[in-house]
Amino acid sequence: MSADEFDVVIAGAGAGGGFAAMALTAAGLRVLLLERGGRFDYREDFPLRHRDWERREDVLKATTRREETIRPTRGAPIALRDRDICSKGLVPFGDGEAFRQRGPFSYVRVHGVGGSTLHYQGEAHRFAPHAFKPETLYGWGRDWPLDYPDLAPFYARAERVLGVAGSPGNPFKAQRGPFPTPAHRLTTRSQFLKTGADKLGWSLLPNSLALPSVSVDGRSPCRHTGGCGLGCPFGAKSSTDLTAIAAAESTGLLTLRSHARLVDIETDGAGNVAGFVYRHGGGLKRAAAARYILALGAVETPRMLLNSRSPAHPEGIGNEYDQVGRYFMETVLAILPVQAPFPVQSYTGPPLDARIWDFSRPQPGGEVRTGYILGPGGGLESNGPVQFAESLRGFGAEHKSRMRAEYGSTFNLTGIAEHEPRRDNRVRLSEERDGDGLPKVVVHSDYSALDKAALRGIISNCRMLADAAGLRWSGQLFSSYSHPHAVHVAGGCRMGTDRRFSVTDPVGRVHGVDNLYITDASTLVTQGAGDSPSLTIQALALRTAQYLVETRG
Amino acid sequence: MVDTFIPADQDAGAVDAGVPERIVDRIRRDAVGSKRYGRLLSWISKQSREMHERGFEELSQQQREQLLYGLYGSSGSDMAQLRIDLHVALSQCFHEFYSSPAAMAVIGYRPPILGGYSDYARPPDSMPR
Repeated sequence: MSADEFDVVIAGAGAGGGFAAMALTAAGLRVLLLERGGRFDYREDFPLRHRDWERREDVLKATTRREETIRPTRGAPIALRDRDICSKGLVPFGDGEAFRQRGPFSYVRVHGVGGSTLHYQGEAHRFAPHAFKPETLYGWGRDWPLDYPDLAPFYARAERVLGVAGSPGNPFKAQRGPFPTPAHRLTTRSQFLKTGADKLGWSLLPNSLALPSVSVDGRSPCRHTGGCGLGCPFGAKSSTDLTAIAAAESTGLLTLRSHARLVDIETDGAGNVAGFVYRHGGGLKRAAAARYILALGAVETPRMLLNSRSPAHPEGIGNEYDQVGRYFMETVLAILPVQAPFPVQSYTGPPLDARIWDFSRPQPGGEVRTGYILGPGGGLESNGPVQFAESLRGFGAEHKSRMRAEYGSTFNLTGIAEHEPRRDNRVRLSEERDGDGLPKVVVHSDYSALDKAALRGIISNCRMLADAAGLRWSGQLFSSYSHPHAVHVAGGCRMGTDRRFSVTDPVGRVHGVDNLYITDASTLVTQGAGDSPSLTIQALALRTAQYLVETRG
Repeated sequence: MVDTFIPADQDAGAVDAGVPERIVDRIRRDAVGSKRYGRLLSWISKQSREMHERGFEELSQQQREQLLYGLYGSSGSDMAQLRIDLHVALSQCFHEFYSSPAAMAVIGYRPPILGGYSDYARPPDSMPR
């Protein structure tokens, strides 16, 4: 093994790892950033570079195709009374099977420099102030050990780095100043959807997106391809590799090592981290530093901690109170495909260009006590001509006529709710091992009564919205209750001030370890009432980095 | 078969777009695919003779669709493999056709690499109904 010396070693070059690297190098620290996947070049690698992109491989999805992280296990039984919130007609296996038991847990992610920001659709949300206090306000979960004002300056810095486009004045969020770039105009489909929202008295607002509407740092502004999920072919989307990591590289203080997978955390006799061992170039290497950061996400970070047992940490690092892996949160999601009475160019524009936040702040005492947001969903990756042709039943002359008449008129209504953090929803190590010898994980994640109530609210309100806008709903439904399909995962190493109920302190330092920090979604205490987590992960990473800079030796 | 899936009308069909050549090229390098198409085409030919006493290519579009829909909508386990063969062939045909410039012209689709979509925010009332 060869050893390297750095001030900080970070494992994971996604939203949290990349932003921590940027802030640390900006302050003069030498950083080694390890990333399991490779680096992409938007000028060459992404399928949308080609006219026949639907015949090309989705290179981002391919990064996890042969990965062996999870040992799949079917979920909890589904009661008859919950059939109304199960998928209908949009799933690979029959409704009968789906109605008996939840499907195995699955989550969508990318291995690569930029992590899952490579395929995200750019949502850049500040959590609302109320979202930090669910226990006090709504009687579930746990309050965060910090408040919105603690994060606000870091949110603002992250937004500047990303060139977030948005419009201030969202009445469901904290008051704020202008966004770095102006909001995008609403897409044709969202303008159509707005007519329905207006009738219902709901506010359909432009979404805040890390898709700059004007050029930032010399990059192209958003070109409205709708293909964010496949990798932006113009390099316009503010993924971490093009923003924070590029900024860190410009300092000359960042050593970025791709195709370098963390496989072991070495600790010394006192229980502090002595080195990160990673696989790179066919061999094992060791990186040593004064301080270490894990930024591997809400599944892999608990996995590494649980797998790092030593005399000082007999149950795994940070797991003295059996908290690592617990309070895991997946994505509570429903998708309803709808059709406008005429083509609305549904494949163009930012896929998540608008949101309805009216239901993000539950009414105390109401039936639905976890927040959720609604809006258009999907993206070009699920709405290209080939995909649409396959979604229409049949073939022949009538099929072709329908393609001519209907392509561009269908899109998804989507709602995402907070997943109630519960002790028994957790990531555990399996007996099975992957190709690198690491234990696979078993993810146990079930829905509470609150989660089901929120899902019912989403489905009911999406149907109302469709009716009000004059959209036709086919009756098809995708529900993450029967078919887990997490796009956002969080928790597992939540932060707190009481180490009996948390894994890190409020700056992200793992309890009981002086020099190990976490800057990823695993430290999230809750999910922000349905908002997307990436900006909060980035803001927390900046906050942790600031602490590291202020306390450097 | 592919011109039954996507016939030419006032617009180009699968044959005009060169789909048969691309599928032949694909199965030339794919033994499983070659076997699949062989099995399917053989069944289609046999069915056509039995039902119409003519070759499949001599049938009208309506008759050809009817024959293939008989397999597409079948449920018996004895037809399961052929049904899978048909669905795979149909999917490949859709992939080849609807990713081609000819099909994009048919449905009015522009791939984003041509410059993105500056008209993404057209008012709904400006859209053709």
